[in-house]
Amino acid sequence: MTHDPTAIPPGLQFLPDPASNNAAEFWHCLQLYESDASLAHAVAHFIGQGLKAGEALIVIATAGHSEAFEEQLSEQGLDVDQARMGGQYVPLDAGETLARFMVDGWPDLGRFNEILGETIRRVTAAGYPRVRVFGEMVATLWTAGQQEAAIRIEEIGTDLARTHGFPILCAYSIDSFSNPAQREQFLKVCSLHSHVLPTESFPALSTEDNRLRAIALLQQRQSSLDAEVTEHKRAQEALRQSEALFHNMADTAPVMIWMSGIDKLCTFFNKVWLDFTGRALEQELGNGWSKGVHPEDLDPCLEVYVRSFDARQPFAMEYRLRRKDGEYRWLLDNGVPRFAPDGTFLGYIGSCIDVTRMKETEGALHESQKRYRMATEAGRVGVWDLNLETGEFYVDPRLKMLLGYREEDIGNHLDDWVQRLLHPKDLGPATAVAQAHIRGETSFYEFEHRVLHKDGSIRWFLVRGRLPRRSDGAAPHMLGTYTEITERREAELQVEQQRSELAHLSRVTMLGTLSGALAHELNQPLMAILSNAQAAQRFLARDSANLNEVRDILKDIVEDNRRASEVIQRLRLLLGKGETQHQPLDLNEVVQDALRLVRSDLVNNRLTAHSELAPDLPAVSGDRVQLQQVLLNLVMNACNAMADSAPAERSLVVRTALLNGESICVSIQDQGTGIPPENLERIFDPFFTTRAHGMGFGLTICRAIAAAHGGKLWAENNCDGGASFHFTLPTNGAAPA
Amino acid sequence: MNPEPTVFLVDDEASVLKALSRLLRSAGLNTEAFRSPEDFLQHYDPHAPGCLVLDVAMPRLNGLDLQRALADKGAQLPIIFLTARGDIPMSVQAMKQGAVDFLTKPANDEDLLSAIRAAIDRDRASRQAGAERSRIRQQLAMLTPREREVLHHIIAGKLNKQVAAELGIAEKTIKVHRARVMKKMNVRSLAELVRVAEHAGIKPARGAVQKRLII
Repeated sequence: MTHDPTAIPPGLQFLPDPASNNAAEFWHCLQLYESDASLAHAVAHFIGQGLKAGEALIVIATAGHSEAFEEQLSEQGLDVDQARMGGQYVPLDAGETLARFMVDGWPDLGRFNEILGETIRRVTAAGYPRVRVFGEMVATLWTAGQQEAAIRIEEIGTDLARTHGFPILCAYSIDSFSNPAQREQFLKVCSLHSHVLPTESFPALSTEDNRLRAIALLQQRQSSLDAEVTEHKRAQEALRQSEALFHNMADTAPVMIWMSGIDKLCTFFNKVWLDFTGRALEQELGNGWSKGVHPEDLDPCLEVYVRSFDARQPFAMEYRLRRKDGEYRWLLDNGVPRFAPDGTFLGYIGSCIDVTRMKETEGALHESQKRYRMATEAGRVGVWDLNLETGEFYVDPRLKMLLGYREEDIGNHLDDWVQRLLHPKDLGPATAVAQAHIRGETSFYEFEHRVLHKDGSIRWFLVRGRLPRRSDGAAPHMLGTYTEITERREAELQVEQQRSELAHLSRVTMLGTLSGALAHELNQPLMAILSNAQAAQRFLARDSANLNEVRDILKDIVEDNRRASEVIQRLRLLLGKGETQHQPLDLNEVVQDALRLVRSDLVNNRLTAHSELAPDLPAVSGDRVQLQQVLLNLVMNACNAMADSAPAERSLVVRTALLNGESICVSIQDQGTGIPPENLERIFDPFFTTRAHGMGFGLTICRAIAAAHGGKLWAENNCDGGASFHFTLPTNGAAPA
Repeated sequence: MNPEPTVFLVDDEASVLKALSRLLRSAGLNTEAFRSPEDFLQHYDPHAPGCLVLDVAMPRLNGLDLQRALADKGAQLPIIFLTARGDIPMSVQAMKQGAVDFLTKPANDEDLLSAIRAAIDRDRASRQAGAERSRIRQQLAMLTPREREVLHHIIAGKLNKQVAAELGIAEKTIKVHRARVMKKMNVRSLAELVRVAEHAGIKPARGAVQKRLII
């Protein structure tokens, strides 16, 4: 419906001119209206009277209304622009002004007084004796649902008007009070005003009858409204109770809970939240909670909230919130929109949990994944999976790259690896180690493999694996890792090579001193062979040769030759420069071999050697030559130590013993002069020697060999004279040698 | 006549002992083998001729010890040392102690056999010399003190006249003594008597000879 906006609506009552009242009198009028045209007429009348009386006008209105008012004023022949220029007419935007003094959805008294007081002071200073004010801010708030805030503004506005003694006109659309539930608020608003002017329709009722009927209708409406109000109150009580129940629940829930209204402002925080932040509910309400959010997280956090809120979508986000001890904790916040049973949107409810620990774990996991990835990317570490039934062999493809091949160059079957890549020398030992694990004798498989690179070079890999058993006892897969250790191994090999060269040098030196004894060992069988052979020649030269005798002789020659070969073999082993080879060894055997080699030296030096060997010793893993060298060295040292002893005392004892089932101890005990206590350690130093012809590194090498075997070598003096050398070696498992 | 010489073998190694026995047997020699010096000493017969083939390096008593032990007993048995290790100080010591030879194992049969033969010859010679010595000693024991005195002078190359003058008895009496000495000592010439006396270790009387030399 369009009608002439300039026409004064019939029945519109104009308020009495406040100017006619005493200036000090409190004048706060409430104008109700139905149509904007009525409002414009009423307000323009109010403004126009003031302008004509030379008073200043402060008009706080919505933009649309301001325009309508000014149009009306022009209709009345008033020059609005001039009044504005002269500071007599001061239009302010309702929304903007509101925003200047509203804090967290509530009018700030200080700011309100400051803003309006300043405006009033300014117009007063411009020379206008009196000010009248029109305000629409309350109506704006009211329609936005912030009735309490509106009432509060009415209250402080009234106080301001009383203080400064100026009239205020407020205007509310009658539609604002259409909700019967707001009846009490309506009455409250009315009570805050000195004058209430009805809407234009009421006085428009032409006849007394019509007016009575209207009143009756209104009364009826009133009673039904009262009933509705009662019902509403009951519902409110139920709601309050249910809210109380909710709050109770929310407070006891182990999570942090918040709620917000349709304006996005928070209306509730549970006890857990408040205990967490250490702040009061009042501080957190509205947007107060956001003060605790980590500055870096606030913007993304609000962005998610606002976006989800406007879309009425649930959201989940993580942000850091300051705990009462000042520490920022990571929260996972899940928000969901709330709807009334009738589908009305009520705001959001959210719950938060502290995920800091989880984040840390996640971080650590991430780190470890990153490390693993870096390691695997570098190719040095990877995983493998061997199907024991089919021989299918999965390895990280990087391993193939590492070996100079493309993925498709090598099949995924164990045979492909064994035949083409695995170092032939490692196959036997590796298989033995694997089988020991499969039989359950070891808790895992561990072997340092040599693998051939495409370019022919050798790469070393430490391969570890396990055989996880399923609940049914079957173990079809062996799983494990590989680590490239070529550099480490090469360094180790270099050290080992140097040690081995030194050991060799030491061995040759030692054998040099033993050469007489060794010559004896060799020359004895050679003597027997030669004599036997020449005897045979002589027998055969005779006419009546006894062939049986010759046969016996030949048998003896073969036997003596075998003995000589054994000696040579032992010697070759000791003189050899072969690479260190670790193999399972029976230490008793090594001891006996060593004693056999030095036997004639002992005889020559009028020494007797006894061995007390523990039976059934477990095997040790070691290099036969080097261990024999250690024993030879220690036995020869013992001989030297007893060189000056009386012949009856020249005896040495070699013992083997199992210690705790974990290591074997070989002891060489002499009856010599003993070692001065200050030298017990020094004798292992390089170039330390007490003998005229000693090189001084025999024991140094021995100790290095012991260490390389994971064992120890030390000396001590016996209580009853002489010294003992003890040499321990770890056993390499439970299996007897 | 003495029995056949025997080669005594001492070595702690059975195989060597067995082979050496065979070799010597093949060369027609008698052998007797012992596993240790102690064993040998237990069975040692000083009258048995032959030689000893002895290993040096043996436990407890070694070859040199046995050599000393035999020397202490006054045994003259020639010793050939066999050593499996060419040890110079030891061989020097062995030779100083009177070893016939010092051979290094493995020793060739010719070397060993010739050493053994030489040793056996030496043993035989020494046993013969010993026998003659004892015979001469028996003959000397039959001489009267005066005859012994005359013998000393005669083998010094003095004339009867000179001896008579030195002893202060008649030249004629000296002639009788001289004839008895020659008879008792079973010699026909002065030269023979001088040799026998020398063999028996009898020193010629001095003084007069020096005078003669001065003249």
